[in-house]
Amino acid sequence: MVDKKVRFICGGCSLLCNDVEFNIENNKITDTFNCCGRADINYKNTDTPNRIKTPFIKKNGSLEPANLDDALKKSAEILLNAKNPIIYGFTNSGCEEMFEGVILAKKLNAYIDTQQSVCLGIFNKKRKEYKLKMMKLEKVKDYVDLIVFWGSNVSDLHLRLASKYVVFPRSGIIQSGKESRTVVCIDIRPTPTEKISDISYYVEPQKDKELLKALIKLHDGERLTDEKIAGLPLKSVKDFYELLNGSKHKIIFIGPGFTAGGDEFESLDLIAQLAKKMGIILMPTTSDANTFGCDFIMRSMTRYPFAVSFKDNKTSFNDNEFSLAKLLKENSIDAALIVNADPMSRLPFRLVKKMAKIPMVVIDHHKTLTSDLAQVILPMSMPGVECSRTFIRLDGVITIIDKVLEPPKGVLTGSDIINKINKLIDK
Amino acid sequence: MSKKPSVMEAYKLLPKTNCKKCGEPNCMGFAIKLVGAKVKLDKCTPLFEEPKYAANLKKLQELFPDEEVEGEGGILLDPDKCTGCGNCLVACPPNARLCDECKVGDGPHKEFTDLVFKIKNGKAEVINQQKCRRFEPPILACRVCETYCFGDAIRIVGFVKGE
Ligand code: SF4
Ligand code: SF4
Ligand code: SF4
Repeated sequence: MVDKKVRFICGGCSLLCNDVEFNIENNKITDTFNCCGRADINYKNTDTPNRIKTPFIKKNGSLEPANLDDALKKSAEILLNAKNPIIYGFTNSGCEEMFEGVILAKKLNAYIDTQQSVCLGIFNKKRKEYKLKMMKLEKVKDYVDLIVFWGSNVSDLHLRLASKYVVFPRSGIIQSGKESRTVVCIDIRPTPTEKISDISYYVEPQKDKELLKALIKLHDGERLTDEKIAGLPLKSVKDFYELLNGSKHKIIFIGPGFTAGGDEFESLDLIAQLAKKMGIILMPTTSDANTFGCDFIMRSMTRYPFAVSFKDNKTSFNDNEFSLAKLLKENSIDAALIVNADPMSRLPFRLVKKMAKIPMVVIDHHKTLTSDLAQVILPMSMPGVECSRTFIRLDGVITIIDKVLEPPKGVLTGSDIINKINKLIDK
Repeated sequence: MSKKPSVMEAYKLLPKTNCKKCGEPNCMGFAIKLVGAKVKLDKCTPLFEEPKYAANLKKLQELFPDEEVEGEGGILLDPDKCTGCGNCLVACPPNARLCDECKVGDGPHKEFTDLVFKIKNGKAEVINQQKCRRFEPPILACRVCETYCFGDAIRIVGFVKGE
């Protein structure tokens, strides 16, 4: 039994809720308290048939159990024999895995890319460029009275964002919770997030830029002549501007819907301009738990956030060329090390077909579409559940998550496995 | 995810004869009350008596299942729809009054039970309905949890004075 007062941190999404409690029996979690449904599934999933507990090597077309040393050797072989390997994944693991991954990529002169949903890298660049402020979620809870969810369906992404931090809590100067805050939802269609929003605006797909430009114009005192902006009547846009202007502490959560399809670079530039002019706090929301940690490690070790190439002993960044999707499209990779990610379920079908032809080494804790097609599977312990890991919350707070359970016998952490491959390559 | 049926959905399936047998001025009035869970379907007698409505009746019964309602009603929580978002936990005024942690958005410690809602195993549970503002005097027509539930999992049945 866990001590009554012990609270754990959940690593289910980048919100990293710090109030989770458990009942534990025989190294299994029997009951969870306070965490959302998504996290509950994660915690109870440690011992299902899908769990990878031993290494596998593909022999004659089928994956067969193997011992760890052979599997590691085979992995090192695959990576050494490749001319242009890529190391990919990481965003659901700890910073430790990312760290080892970058070291290995450097040694192999490989490509390295992470599984990002919002272009956090571009956002961070813009944030520096415009010197935008960050705000801790605890402070958002205490002060912010205008919350905008822009293309960010929190009822799916960060289930507890509204209840734990930004909408409902009564704290600081916000003494009546939801009643003292205004919630605005901007999306292309209705989402369940609307249930908590006071006002919803439906913009036409990929027209976010127009709305942003209009808001900037309004702020600069220019007159708007168009009757409709991004599918919204002029009056709504003016109302929205007044709302933004009238509130002292305001925040915009940018979600995948904001950057989807359109020109991310320009949209993010515009929203950063608006934020600078009007003193708005911007916060990107991404689905994977440690996107922010990976971004941080990548930037501090390579200077670039993702899509980095170590070819020819040079470190170079090009999100147009070195991202997994682009590399696959150009047929420029011939082996892959996938760490705790499932690109096969996210990539478009034509790229999946290409990826399936490449020899893959997969390090993961559960079977995925990707692991089914791998040459070698190496089991890892679940980050933040079976090994203690460093994650970074969506507002940049560095958080260390303690382990709750013991990993299955003989299963190492992801970072240890990458490290072992690294040592074998030295030999 | 199935949503709470709309008034129009309900209205379309009713006889639309405005016969007043249910005690409402017209079928639309009945539909509104039906969606608000303020009347039961069996008040509309023609639906059950005339065979031509049989198909519609079946659909209506699926949309408005005949729940067991305790006393004046209660908070019905559908665990299959609940996502564990915690909106009810934090938004519910008595919950915030009874538990300092809920007030600021955190979950209560697991042995704390003097509450309306609690989140266990990723789902909300109604622990003590008697603490709800609809039950504890002075009785108030609160529907906060139902309004903000992300999963449409909460349905308040029965009605209190002033509704
Ligand atoms: S919202 Fe995210 S961090 Fe919080 S309990 Fe759910 S999965 Fe875990
Ligand atoms: S109706 Fe109001 S008081 Fe009752 S449980 Fe829901 S939020 Fe709480
Ligand atoms: S608000 Fe609805 S979905 Fe969220 S925890 Fe409560 S019952 Fe479940």
